[in-house]
Amino acid sequence: MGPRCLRAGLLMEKQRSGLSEGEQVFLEEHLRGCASCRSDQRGIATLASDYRAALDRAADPGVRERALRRALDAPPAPHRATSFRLGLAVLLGTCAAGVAAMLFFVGRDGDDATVASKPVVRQGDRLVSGDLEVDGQVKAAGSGIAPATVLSTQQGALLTLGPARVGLDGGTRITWLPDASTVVVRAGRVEVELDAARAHPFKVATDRFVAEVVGTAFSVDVEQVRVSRGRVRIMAWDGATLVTALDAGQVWSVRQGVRVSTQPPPRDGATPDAIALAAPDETTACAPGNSDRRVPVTPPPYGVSATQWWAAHPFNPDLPGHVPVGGICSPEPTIDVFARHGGDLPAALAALPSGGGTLYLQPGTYDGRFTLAGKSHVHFVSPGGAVLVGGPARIAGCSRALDERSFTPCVRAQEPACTACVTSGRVSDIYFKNITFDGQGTAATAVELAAVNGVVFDGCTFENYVANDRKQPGVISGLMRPSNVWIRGSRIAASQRWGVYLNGLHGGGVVSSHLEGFSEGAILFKTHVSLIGDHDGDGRIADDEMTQSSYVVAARNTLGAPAPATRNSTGISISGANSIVEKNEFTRKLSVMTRLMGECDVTNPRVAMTSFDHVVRANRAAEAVVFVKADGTPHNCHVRGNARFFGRYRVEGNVISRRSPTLVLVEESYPAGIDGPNIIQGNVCATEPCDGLLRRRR
Amino acid sequence: MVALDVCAESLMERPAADDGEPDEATIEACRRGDRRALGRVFDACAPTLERQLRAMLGLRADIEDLLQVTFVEAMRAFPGFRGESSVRTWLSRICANVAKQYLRGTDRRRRALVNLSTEADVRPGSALPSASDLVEGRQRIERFSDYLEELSPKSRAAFVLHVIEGRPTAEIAVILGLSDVAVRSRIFLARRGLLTRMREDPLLRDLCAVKGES
Repeated sequence: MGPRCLRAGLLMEKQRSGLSEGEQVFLEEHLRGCASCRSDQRGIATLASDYRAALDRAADPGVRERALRRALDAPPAPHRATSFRLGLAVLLGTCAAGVAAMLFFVGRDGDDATVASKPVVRQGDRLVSGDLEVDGQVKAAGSGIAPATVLSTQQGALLTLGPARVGLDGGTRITWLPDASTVVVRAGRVEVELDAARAHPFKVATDRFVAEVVGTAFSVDVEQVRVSRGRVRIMAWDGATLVTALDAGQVWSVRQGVRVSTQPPPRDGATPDAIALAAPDETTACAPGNSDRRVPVTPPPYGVSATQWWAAHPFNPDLPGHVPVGGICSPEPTIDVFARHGGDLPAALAALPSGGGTLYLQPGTYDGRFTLAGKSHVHFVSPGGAVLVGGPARIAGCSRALDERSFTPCVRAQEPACTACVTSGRVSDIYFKNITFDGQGTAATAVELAAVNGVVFDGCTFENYVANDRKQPGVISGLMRPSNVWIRGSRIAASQRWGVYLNGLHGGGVVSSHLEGFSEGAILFKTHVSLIGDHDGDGRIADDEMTQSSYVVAARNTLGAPAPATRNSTGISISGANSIVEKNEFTRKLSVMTRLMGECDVTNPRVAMTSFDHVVRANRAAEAVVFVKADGTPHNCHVRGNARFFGRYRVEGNVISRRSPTLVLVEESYPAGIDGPNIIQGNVCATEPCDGLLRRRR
Repeated sequence: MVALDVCAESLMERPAADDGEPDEATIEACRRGDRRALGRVFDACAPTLERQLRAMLGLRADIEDLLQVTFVEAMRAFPGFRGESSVRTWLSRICANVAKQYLRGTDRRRRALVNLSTEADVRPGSALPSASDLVEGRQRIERFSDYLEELSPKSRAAFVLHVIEGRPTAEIAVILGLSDVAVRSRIFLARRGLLTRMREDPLLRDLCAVKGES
């Protein structure tokens, strides 16, 4: 490189900031005459441009939203590092999400919160007797108690905190939040006695529930609340009431709940009267007359169109004689989980015979964290009011299938146990009816499914689940060849990234349900990009061994608002084939209402996994940015010649109430990869036809 | 949430970056710690900051945490924001410091790798590429990313902000705490280092001139 090239290089860096006329002339003349500099400039520019495009594609709105939310949800930090800041770090470092959530809870009305000053010990908050450590420092009797610090005792201690005298058992660890009049219990047990003459309310929180004092004296450990005098209300983290009133002498626990129903429990093993309570107009036991009302387990009819399949499906609400929500018949025997096993679901599951049966959940709360592996024909039925708290409930063909990282290679290596688990060994005929799943603001997933065939959720509610960073980020998540998974007449209201996230679903869908509060999207039927293979070892990869979602339906659902501060949310996203999106109502504006795309398997790129035959019809949207996005990018597909892997879609008869100037009915992304014919017809925006609102983006 | 224009893409190419700045009332609210105002300003700048972190570090798994740290640091420091630069520049500087501290912590530099999608290999406007084109395109970007990793943190930051992000050198000088001349010098050195590595690399050689060619 000569000195002139060197100078040209320096001027190129200066170019954006502005060059003098002389410098500009020099640079232009030099580049005109110097092929080397021109070539270098082009090379760097090309790579930089490609690199920037790669960065743009790697960008993840979810990452930004979560980072922003977490930053804004954090308690206000002081401007300079102080002892408070260090104490807070210890607190956050040692406590689980529940405590972090509590801090959020405390500061939630702090939209105008100013930067916190050094915390002040409130008058009256002090150690009365016993031993107490605060951030590793031993306190003497009479010492003040600083807010938002971790307090622990070895032998036990008595404190006055606000209007309460709080006794700590040995080994107890708490945090006192005076602004919220709340003691957060992380370990151990506290006894609270309230000065009735002083102001209320007073709360004791664990990472699983919040107990609010209505009366005067009670004790709390991380699992249960016992009332000595007066009355206590138990709440979830979002303020929803779990138990309205727990009176003197009563005990409520996370695992066993407390009976709040006045209905007598059914007798074990008998035809459950309680099930009849749930659906008084129907007989739901599997009598000869209704034995066809079962959880579907047959594979979809590969080869026929999705519309034909759906038109004849017993879960199609438009089909005369369809199986209504709640109309699945349940197997015997029936076990009352509370009456027989004190609310212990794992014990009740273990007590079911190998042929399965029905677990009757009377109103109350139950621990939502349990595993059902390898046992089919299990129904969870409630008359309403049964709440599974926390999560996830894990349902799998075999327990190994729940560990995706180790199980996927095992399947690909065709180890017999793993192969059996995802083929003949999938659990089937699992049914949830009238159950509420409550994540309590801490759990991310209600139900994880792996290697299942035939799981139905009817009339269920999913709420208070939060976003996580896991690979399967749905309130209901499924993978490892899930088939016949249906969510019907249910409500999912949670800030998890996806409401329903089913990976490689064959036959199934979401029908007549309501979804809101999601951050990335409401429903995702995805291609499982690492599991394709000849699982049954017959020498070929059959239709049912393809792992793109196939024969999936989203019908008659309402989609509400996504989580606050969410941008770029998708309503329904399908990476697969043979899909139906129909008669849904999108009540809020989303970035993309329906996204259709295809993906191939990353481990077998030479297997052509096509994603054809999509129907989006008769949906209604209040407003849209892009109504349907058809993405022809050959994600992971081994492209040969002019092969196309995605397309043949129909968008017809949809109505968008408001027509904004920027509305796009169909956006084709990478149109070169989209196969036809594609039909767009009969769509109306405001009152006018709008089939021509098509945008193609390369 | 209403997005402000303060970090909009269109500003990237403008020499004066202060158009679309949040108004003084919003900035004042941010200084007071108003979470809504902070949320609006951060939300508008988040895509730029995310890309800056990815370009400087590439480590996908940590980006979310580092972005959060950037926001938390900005919230902490906002009461001291004097308005001497635009909010975007100020946030970029915090972001650059967060990235610098991260790189200083361990040998993470070597692990930095942009997580690339296969989409990246499809050049806009071209016909459907062949499989070998796809693979080659991906390899080229990965190789380029590797060579970026080899640069010193300051050279890399200056090069990324200028060549990838399109920021003027005067703004980069504020972000990195360097003089304008030092920034240009680092960009030049980075470019020269990259060209040297590209000429040695059979995969990238055809994109630049062979040494001595004129």
